[in-house]
Amino acid sequence: MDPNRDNPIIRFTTFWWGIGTFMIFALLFAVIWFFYHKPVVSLEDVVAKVRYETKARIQQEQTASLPRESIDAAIPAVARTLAVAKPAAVEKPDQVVPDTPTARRLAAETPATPEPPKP
Amino acid sequence: MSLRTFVLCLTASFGIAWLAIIVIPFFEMRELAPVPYPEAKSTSAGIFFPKRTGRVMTGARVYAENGCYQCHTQLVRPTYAGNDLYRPDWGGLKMDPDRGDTRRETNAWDFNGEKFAQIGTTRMGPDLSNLGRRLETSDGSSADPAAWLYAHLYNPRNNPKLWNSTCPPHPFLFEKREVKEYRAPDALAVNVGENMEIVPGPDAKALVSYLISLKKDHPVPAALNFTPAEK
Amino acid sequence: MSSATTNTQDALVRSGIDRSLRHPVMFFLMSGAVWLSFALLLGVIASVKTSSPGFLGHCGFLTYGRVYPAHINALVYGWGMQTAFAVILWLMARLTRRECTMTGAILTAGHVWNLTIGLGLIGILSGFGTGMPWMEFPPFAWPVLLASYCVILVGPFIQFRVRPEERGNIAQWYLLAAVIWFPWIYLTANVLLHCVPGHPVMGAAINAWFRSALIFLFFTPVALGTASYLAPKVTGNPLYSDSLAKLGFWSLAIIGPWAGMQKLTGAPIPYFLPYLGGAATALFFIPALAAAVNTIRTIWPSREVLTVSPTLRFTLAGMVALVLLGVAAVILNLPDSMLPATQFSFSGYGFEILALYGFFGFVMFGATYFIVPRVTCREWISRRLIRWHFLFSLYGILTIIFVTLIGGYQQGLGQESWSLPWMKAVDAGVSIAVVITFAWCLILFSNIFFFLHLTLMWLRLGRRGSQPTLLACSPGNLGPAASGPATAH
Repeated sequence: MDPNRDNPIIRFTTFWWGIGTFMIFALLFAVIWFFYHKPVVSLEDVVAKVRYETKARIQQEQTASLPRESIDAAIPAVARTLAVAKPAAVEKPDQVVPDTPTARRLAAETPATPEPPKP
Repeated sequence: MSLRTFVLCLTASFGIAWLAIIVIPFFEMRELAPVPYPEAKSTSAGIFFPKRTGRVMTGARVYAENGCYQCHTQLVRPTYAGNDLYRPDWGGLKMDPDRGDTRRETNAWDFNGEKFAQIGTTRMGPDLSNLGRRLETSDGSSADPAAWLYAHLYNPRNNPKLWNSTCPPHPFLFEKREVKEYRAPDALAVNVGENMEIVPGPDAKALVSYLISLKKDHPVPAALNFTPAEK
Repeated sequence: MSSATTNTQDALVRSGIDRSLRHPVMFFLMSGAVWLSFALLLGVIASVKTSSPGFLGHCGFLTYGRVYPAHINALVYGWGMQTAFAVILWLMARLTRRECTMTGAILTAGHVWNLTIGLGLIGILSGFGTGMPWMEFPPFAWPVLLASYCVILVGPFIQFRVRPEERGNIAQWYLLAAVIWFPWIYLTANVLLHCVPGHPVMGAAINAWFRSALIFLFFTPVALGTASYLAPKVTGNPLYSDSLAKLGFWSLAIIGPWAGMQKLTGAPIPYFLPYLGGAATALFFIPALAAAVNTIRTIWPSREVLTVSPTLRFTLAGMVALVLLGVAAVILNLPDSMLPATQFSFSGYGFEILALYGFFGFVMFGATYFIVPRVTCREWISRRLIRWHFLFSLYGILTIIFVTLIGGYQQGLGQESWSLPWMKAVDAGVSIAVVITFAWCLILFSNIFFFLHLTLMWLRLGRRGSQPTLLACSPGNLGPAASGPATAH
């Protein structure tokens, strides 16, 4: 055995060269990936972009037609009107809340309504 | 020849092919530009977007795990590569009631939503690209494609028309249980004894949902339309 | 230094190498034989199910869609790779005259390999397969297998580097190339399919390329390197032509990496990919014929040795299979006439089995019958077992080749007859399936003999003697190394 060709140092370095040779194309791919990859844009992303733009536009128009300041300005006026208004008795029997003394009194007074005709 | 020269020559001979047929096409296919299709409905943003409804990811996983790709393909080849397009119901429908002849070859967006296209290795069973469409229209199954598929998956040879089918039975995708107050709506029409019924398990439901979503005959924009122009 | 002393020194070096390799080589050969028997059993079950789907129909873990991938993966990774490991380790050590120094690491890695294959097969049969043909092991398996591979086969790489003679012979180049190519193709396919998101159809294309590359760039060079060593060694003739050998090697290196994507002709991938794949597969006949002619012409002047040497008989059968493979590669891939019909028929399966078992397998069996006596210092016990192994395997593989390649074309024609209902095409396939089942049974039967015989040798129950086990009484004057006694060289 010629010590110039076979010694532990050469074996050690050849071991790592061997592992490196096995991995060349993985390393090469990693390099290519690092430089050239872009995030994948799927069809759903393209369609979603349009959808989000539409949604943003609608949001904008809705907020524009209903500005905060005019709501804040309107509230005190309505509040004042409500504050001076006196509670008035209910006029139509439809507006009576069910299961209250008024409703029971009304039910006792009015005759039974005929059954609606069957469809 | 020294080891170093040998490895270099091997790297060159392998590397050129590796770049040309693997890596570059891999990157190109990742970045396929959507094809413009302005005549499509407004929800498609003017691009060709074959939407699929159904449990595509889960169903594709069940499809792969049970090896359906060993016997079924999902590739309708153009006419220079095979006769798939001539069959009346593989590439679409020859006589769709609304659109006429909807048959077309598979294009790159037909596997939208799947991670690995189950092109298939052999055809011991029919191609499945348009299974969903086929089941909606052929006799006897237009009532309920899902029920037909459940019955087929449970035991293909139960169907008298497929008495010599080589598709394996998949009873393990189903559950046998006692009938509760009433039979389940998706219980199979198989007699398994007094008061017992067979219902599809979760894997069967996912798989059938995936199979019914297989409709690859969406109208294509001009850039992808290879049918000869009308004379 | 007298020639007698040199011969003795040579013999001492050789027996030192054999002794250092006894455990690794026998481990891989035995593991391979076990996995082969298991794979063949699964193959018989799968094959029965193609004609009688109800066979063992209640078992979810034996459904065709799981049993068939388990069969192929056990065959390729369990038997094919491990037999290749054994042969590469022994041949590279002998050719570079270096002893094996990594025995412990190699055996550990071998056990890890077996464990991973076992767990992977359980995964496939339990329904956790990935759905990618020939890569169905659940995703945990491939990094472990790759790491084991590196531990097992970095040794031959080192041995080649520190070899005493500058000139390598063709067997060394083939084996070294195979050792380097496998991680390249395995890593590429697995990283691009499992680790990095890509287009689904391109994934299918890369998978098709991987299947072809595994055959052309790993199993083929291992078998060719082995045959280039065995034929001259057993007959005593020099290799017929060095330049033909070099042509064979470099044409394989240049043509091989381009093949595979013709399996996806008509799919929505760049148009040139399937055509390049088909052209490269057809051009495979160049390295196939070059190597086969070279080996057969080396054997031919001493063809009487074929009657006695099991090694030579198996090697020659492998070379004939290689010629058939080269011819099949051309015929199955003719673009307009044959490829549309054969693309999705049994013919592809027949081609793969011809390559894996007919060509690679037979050469590996030849190598096994050569190596095991040298490494265990015992001779094979029974020539009848060897003969039965050869004959039943031969009948089985010939049946499979004939039926799948020709019957597959018939099946493909049925598939392409678009005006007939689909069930007619199914009928064409059923009779093929029955014959294939029968052929697999023959092959399983033959390998039971092989496995038993190999186990006896592994347990060192072989025959002690100075005369090798030959297939017939030796006709007088054979070549100096005609599967000669283990101690002679």
